[in-house]
Amino acid sequence: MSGFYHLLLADSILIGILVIYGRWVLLRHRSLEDFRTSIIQIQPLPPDEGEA
Amino acid sequence: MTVTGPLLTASGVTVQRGTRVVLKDIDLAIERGEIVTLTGQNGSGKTTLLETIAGLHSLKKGRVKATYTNGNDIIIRDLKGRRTPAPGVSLALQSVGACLDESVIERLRTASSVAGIKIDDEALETEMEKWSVLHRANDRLAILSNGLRKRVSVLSALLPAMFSNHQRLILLDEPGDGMDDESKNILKSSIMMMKDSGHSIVIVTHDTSMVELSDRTVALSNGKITTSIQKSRKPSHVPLLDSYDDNSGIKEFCRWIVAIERRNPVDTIQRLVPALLALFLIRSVGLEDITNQNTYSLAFYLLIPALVSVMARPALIDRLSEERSGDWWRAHLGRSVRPYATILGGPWLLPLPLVYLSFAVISFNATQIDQSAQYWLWLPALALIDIGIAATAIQMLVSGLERSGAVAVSLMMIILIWPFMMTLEATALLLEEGFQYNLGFDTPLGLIILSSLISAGVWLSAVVIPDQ
Amino acid sequence: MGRSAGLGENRYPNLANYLVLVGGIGVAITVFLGTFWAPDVNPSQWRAPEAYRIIFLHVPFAWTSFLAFTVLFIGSLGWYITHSDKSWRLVQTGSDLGLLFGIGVITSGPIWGMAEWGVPWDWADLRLNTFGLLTAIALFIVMARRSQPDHDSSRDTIASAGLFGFMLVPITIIATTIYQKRHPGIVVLETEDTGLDPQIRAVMLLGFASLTLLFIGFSIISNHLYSLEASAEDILKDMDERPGGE
Repeated sequence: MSGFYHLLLADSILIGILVIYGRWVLLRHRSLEDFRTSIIQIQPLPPDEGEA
Repeated sequence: MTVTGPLLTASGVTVQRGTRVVLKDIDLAIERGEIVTLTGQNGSGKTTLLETIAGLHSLKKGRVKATYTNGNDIIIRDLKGRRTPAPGVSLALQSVGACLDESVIERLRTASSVAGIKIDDEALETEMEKWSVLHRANDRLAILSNGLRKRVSVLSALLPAMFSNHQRLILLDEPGDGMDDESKNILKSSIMMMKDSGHSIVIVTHDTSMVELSDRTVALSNGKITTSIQKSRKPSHVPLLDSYDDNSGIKEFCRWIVAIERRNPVDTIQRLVPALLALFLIRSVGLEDITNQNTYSLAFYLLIPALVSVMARPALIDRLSEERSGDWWRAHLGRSVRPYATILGGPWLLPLPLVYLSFAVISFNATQIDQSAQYWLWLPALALIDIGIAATAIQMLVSGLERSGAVAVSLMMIILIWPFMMTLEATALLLEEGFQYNLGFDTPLGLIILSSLISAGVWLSAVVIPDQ
Repeated sequence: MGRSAGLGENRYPNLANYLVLVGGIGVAITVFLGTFWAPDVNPSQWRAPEAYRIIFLHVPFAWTSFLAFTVLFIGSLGWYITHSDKSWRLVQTGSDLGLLFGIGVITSGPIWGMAEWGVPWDWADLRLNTFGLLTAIALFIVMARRSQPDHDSSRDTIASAGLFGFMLVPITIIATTIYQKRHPGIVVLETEDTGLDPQIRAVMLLGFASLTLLFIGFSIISNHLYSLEASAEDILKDMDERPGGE
């Protein structure tokens, strides 16, 4: 048994982990972008009126 | 010597709970013999202030201190992480503050014993009758109405002062909530009696009739004191406590843990049932397959039921979270709660009988076992108890999370594999060669000691990190 | 927590982008060179001679997870002492990346172990067991951060879990050392004494460098994004406290 398939599996997992994380970070960035866009469309906050 | 300063002082106290700053720069001094009411809208911070006085909350700024006879201050809470249970304090939280498996009379005796006050039965019964709870003396709080539970909770806070010759501070959070008018009248007359005796009381309340009883009304809004209205006040001549001894509280806590488990042995059953299931499964797999294997495998199957029992979630954790019972104990015992709870809440009863039961069930056919092994199986059982105590400490550490059910505590317990493996090795050696009195990495005694030391190290790691 | 990060500025720092790009390319080259250029090992001495090439990512992943756990530890300690948001970012980043790279180590290691030694785990191997333990702690922290309401007392308990995890490292060292006395461990790596082939060393160094750059890039991005998320949360909380908002 040369271990070639083990090598393939291990490397796929390791690279896959990095890709999945990168993608997840990108998605988080996008959702923050969307949030920023939606906030800009909201009126400015009213002045603080004291106790909640 | 008469000490004339305040009994308890909160200076510059700022408390954050969750993401909100709930108290901002609070300065409050409680004088001896004074009744103070804390009023304000919901969310103004009055309950948080009361609980902060009791030492329940970590501070973002400031400190809370109490004063004793010789003028020495005790820091109840400060930023340096110092923390001492407020001496001479009794607390009634807005919740019951007690495990609902306690009976009424137990609850009242516990609260008094924690305060170091001994009340004779007759006097206690008189007070219970006055508060209309005597007829429920031996009933568990679980079956009582909310109103009755509240009465018991408030009475448990008032009782130590009623029978104490020394200055006490009573903290009551919405004591009249859920009470009928007659009960409220009893409450108010008891409060006035406390005042006449010279004790100090802080009450969080919306009830205007309670406010009228007070010497000072402190109004809070948005975490700050907005007004403080002082009326006239009679000075108190009740002597302060001579010294502070928290041993009575700790002894009472230990007694409470054992008593509750005896009343409702949930912990024992939770540990026993899966252990027995494991044992039955092992037995039904095919004894021959197990006993014909080497002693290592035999030791493994022998220890598995006991291991299952020691890793189960301790019932004490749920008991302490019920109705903020743990917070009540923390207010009275401070940091001591966790180390004692982890030890006493651990699996003391079952590992020894389970190991011997497993031995009897699994190994009666095995021929490769040393004759003397059975006399020494208590050693691995002890090591398993240590592992269980370490597991309890980890579970308690994690239970500090608000949603502790949403995390996988087993991830934190992986470290316990090593002490278990050492115990396993020791058991295998015992089975094969019997006991050896010398110490070493390859002797049962040496491995058991190492296993226990590792468990102790894990316990220490989980317990010594300060409980906020 | 203030709005210091500012949602207006929500692009990653360019440096981080470059680091991730360069690191990613480096990883790809490492895999390529490790698979096709690094020399073969003696098949009579190795049960699975091709599987040894796992080392070119496995070991750098271990190094990187060590960096991440260090960040987690510093963050936990920092939060415990100072309660600063900066420390909390380190906890967030350290636990995410510790989990990421830790999972890489504890999956690739057993795969290699199965191929070469027929066993997926070696209880006598200090590094594997320490990384396994810390990865479990990192997973716990990531799960706790996601499931718990985010405020000081949750952070305190989570930081405690981080510190607890690190106090277990010396315990693990002692335990595996004792275990090794009775069960001599399998050597995972050749030591400096036996000497690595220069080509193998070169590819491994490339792997180390690439993953380190990748780690730094990810850390910067992660810190930045958590900062932005905190700012977004502040805005949402302000909106909660408006009349009718809560």
